[in-house]
Amino acid sequence: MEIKFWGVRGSIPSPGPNTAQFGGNTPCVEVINEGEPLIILDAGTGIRKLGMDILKRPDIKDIHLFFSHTHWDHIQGLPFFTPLLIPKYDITLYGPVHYSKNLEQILSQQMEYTYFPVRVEELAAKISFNDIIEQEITIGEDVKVTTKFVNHPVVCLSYKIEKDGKSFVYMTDHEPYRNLFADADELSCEEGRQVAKDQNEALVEFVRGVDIFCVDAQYTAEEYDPSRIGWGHSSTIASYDLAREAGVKEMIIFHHDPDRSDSDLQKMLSNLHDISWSPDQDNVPVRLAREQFNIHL
Amino acid sequence: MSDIVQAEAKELIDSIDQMAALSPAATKIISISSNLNAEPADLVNAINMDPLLMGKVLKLVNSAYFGLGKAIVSLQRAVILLGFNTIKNIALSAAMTSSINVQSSFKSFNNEQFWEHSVACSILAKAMAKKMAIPAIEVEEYFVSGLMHDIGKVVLISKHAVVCEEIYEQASFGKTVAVELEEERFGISHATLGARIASKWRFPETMCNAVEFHHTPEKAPDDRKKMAYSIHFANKMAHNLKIGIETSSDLDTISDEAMEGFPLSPSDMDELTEDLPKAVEEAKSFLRGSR
Repeated sequence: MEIKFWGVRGSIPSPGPNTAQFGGNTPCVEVINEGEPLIILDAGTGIRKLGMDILKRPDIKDIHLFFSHTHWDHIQGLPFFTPLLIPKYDITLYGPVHYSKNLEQILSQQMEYTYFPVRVEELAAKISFNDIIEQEITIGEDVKVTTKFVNHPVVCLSYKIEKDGKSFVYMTDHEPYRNLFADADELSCEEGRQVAKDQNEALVEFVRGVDIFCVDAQYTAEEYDPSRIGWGHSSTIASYDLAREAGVKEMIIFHHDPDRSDSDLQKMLSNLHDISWSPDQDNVPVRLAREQFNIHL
Repeated sequence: MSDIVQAEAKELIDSIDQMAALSPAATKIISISSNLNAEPADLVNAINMDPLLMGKVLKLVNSAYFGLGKAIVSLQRAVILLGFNTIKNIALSAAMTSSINVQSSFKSFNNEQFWEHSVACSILAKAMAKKMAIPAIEVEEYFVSGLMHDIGKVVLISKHAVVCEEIYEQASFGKTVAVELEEERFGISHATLGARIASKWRFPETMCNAVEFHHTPEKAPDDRKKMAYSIHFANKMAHNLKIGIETSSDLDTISDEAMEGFPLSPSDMDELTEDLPKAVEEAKSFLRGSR
């Protein structure tokens, strides 16, 4: 399994000299399994370059694109994904069910004439849309994709991809579940506490022992204050605690804040090391996601 | 009024008594939905007020649609799992659509159009209230009155679908307003019937009056004219914009005379309609989702 990062930034593209090292494109991750269809996670602006790269690889025909959710930064690159315009490609799109609209409606709306000159109906590739829930999907011969709802202001999925004993979890746009009823009556408060605990435990099980855990850690512990709680993004330490509890082999910090410069990102990583390293426990190696960064498993 | 028409009017009024009441939970959820500072606990408490509604929300949460593995039996769990916005939308649409459903789909008036028009009026009426700096606590009454102003039509259509079709088609092309034709044919208009329903549902008097006088706001008591005129104008504007109803007539033109004394100017009103189609589309999509 090979994992390649094409966009690692959250919220909005942030190009410029201060972000050149880690990159300013919004989320897009490619997962290659030899002899199997190509898997792409999210279609932030990073997908534009991936699309051009795919054109240079003649063997690729079958593409499976999974959206964590449909907030702007995860779909805005899609209209610029060139394979959509070429008849040879068979592109299957997946995204979490959304109460009021389906995936096809949401993606088609961003390609209405008001916003973009080419409409979905005009795309030449063979395209299909799938609204998905917590489930298991087999891609190609033997790639298993498992989904899990995570905590974001809109319905959002995390994906676990497994093949030949190797595993990768992509969990962007998530913050730990919390008791939303802490100030309510006693019964609600207790129920809320229990639910948050159950959900956080279920996430640990989902991530348990994976080789690579790519996770939202947009904020430092100090930044993750009440003004940002509820925005659906984690602090580095909260994501690290999850990684350690689940015994993952390596954690990748993802969904970088658009205002975080390259040097700030390095500082954030070293601060996390300072506050999280423990001589008494298994420590998880942590790296920062960076554009064009490849992982071979 | 002939004996036959009088008997029909009585039958229509009697049928209101058999209508299910709009639960207090529904009105509470409407209010929470438009309050940006509402807390998850407010929403859960409102849904809990109505056990039937709570059942419906949990049924939707547990439906194959979300495919959650384990059965969700508490609203608190549902809110934490699927988010406040999702549950709020489910609850709102469940509350409204279980109370009101036009059981007919004839050409000039169907369920979807009815909702679209009602939603457009409610959004416009609320926007007017805000623009007129009406106290926040009353702004919701404008919204709900707009949503409910044509509720009397539900009763008329469910009892007399064929005649209603004739009436509304005639009204949309001719020079006669539907209320006059309804009075002539049934002895009572949808506006008067609507006010009776609002009263049965224990809406405040101002709102009952706004529904009753939405075609004749000049007849509303002086201290309640502002809301009645707002619903009246919202109704005409929605017709003119052809939201929910495909045709509009000359009678939907807002005259300068009618505007006299109303605190908002025609340009204020134009401004309010700018985002309307989008807002209606959004509201419509979740209403559709709950059916």
